[in-house]
Amino acid sequence: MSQTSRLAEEPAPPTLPGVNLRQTKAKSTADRLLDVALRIIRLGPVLVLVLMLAIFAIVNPVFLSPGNLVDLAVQTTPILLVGLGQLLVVITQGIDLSVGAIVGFASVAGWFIWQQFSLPGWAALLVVVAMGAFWGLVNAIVIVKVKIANPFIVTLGTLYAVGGLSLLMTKGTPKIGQSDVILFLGSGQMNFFGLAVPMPIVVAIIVTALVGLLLYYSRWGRWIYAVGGNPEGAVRAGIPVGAVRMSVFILSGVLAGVAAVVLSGRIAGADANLGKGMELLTIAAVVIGGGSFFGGRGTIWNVVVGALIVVGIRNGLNLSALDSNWLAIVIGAVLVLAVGLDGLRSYTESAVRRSRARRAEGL
Amino acid sequence: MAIEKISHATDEVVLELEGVSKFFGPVTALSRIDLTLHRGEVLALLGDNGAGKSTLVRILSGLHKPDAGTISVSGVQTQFQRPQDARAAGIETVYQDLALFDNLTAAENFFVGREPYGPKWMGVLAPVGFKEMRRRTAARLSEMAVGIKDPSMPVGLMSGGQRQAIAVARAEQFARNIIILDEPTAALGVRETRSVVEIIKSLPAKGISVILITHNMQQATELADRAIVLRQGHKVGEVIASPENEQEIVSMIVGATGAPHRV
Repeated sequence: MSQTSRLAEEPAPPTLPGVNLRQTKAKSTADRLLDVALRIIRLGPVLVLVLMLAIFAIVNPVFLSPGNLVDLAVQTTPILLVGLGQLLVVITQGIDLSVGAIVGFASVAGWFIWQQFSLPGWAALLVVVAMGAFWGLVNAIVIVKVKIANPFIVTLGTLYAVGGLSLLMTKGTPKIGQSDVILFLGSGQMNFFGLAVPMPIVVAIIVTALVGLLLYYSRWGRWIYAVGGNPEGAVRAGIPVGAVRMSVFILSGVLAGVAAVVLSGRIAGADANLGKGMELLTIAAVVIGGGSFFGGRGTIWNVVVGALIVVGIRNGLNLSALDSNWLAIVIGAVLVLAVGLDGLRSYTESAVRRSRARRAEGL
Repeated sequence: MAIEKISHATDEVVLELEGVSKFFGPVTALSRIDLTLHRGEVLALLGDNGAGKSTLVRILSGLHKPDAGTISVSGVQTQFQRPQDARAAGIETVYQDLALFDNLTAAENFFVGREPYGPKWMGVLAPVGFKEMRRRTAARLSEMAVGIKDPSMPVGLMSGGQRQAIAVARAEQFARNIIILDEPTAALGVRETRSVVEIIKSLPAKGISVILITHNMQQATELADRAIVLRQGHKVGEVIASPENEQEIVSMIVGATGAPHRV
């Protein structure tokens, strides 16, 4: 590697000891081991998924039957959709506990408005999504603009208030009937080259791709990672941190609305309890899939893998003769494993950093 | 190993502060600070903890607004409302610990907050020009001998010296007038300090003025043309930065000599 003219003009000759870090030792075996370890750790969630599939396949061969795999995929879509919103929030060091309640509210409120105004199907669809967006906006304004509390407390408040509101509207009983568009998106099918694909899967693939495009390729996506990695640095870099943080909570609400569409279509009605427990399941999915709860890291693949693991465990336990209470225990164990992996990852990364610094100092 | 110090300072005044003051409630963080910086000059900003160095840096980088006084860049009086304003005026700041984003790659760090992007009408949703970012970052990094070959490597995996090199190079890429360096080598080993110092030394020749905040007196006298000493928010001294003056500078920092407002 040649020295460039810029350094050659320097008053200090480039041969000064220690000036050129390239002259230091080559990559050692320890470094290579660390690199390999990092790669394996990053692959951890995929290995967990494969292990889970293998175990359930051995316990009950039905698990891997085409019919059950399609079921598994359809069951995964709501967690995936809401989980994508949760991912955006978690990357920015936030948390959204209100998503489950918002799913229920969007379903119920959308149903009432659809009935009241005899809306056409597409409008009913938009109303459900808008209901989700509305509560996302409320979260965003209270957290970012009013600056009174952290996301945990504010979205916990929304979780209770919105959940109560939906139950008040339905008096606790599910509503029956759905508009044609929502019905189609929740339980319809589409033919792709002679293959009947359930619409929830189609919706999930399109939405996941869109979120991925925005997150990886747009300026806004870069800013989300910047805000999550170094909030103070993001302010100093001139990134509109407040607007970025607001946008992720609004999008989380929108995605909860989309999940409400799929779920309402599947039950052909509306139910205040549709999203019950989703807030914790989606957080679990993000973390189990390999996203970091401390912010700055996470991809759509983390959510896809995490959602498949979480829903797969439920599906597999249902197929095995085990007590259904095992579900919580297994998910808990996998969650702790995932957090352990995240800790191991950051430990290994700092080991890489230390090793590089030692090499640079010629030690 | 005495290396002759070459000054690139010119007569052109690039930054002028007159009577800049900043109060936090009853606390006077800065009191009527006057300061002149010439193009190509390296100015050391010295002082004990709490002397007002950080406040001054924050004012110059648009994070604080001064309560009194004026700031002129290249003879034009300006007010920095936001960090973007300072950057638009050609002033870049390299912060001690907040400079980089560990979760982003070298290229993304280089362009963070000002990514090149596609069709303007798409606004914040416009695709980022990753190829251009990588190409320009790789070109810049290859000029610096810090052994970073891959601009797609996350900065979190780099050594302290490599990180600091990226932070300084990023500032250099965008600074037209001034780079402010806050303790640039505080966390580095001997050899890495050496390489970062070499990068800093290369700045004045490119017409960039440097404001250097440091606790390392030897570094201040090696790199700087002039030194300004702050104590309890006052400017207590201004001297030529040379090894012979080290003792005098130290006594000004601790308050043994030098009266407030002495220039």
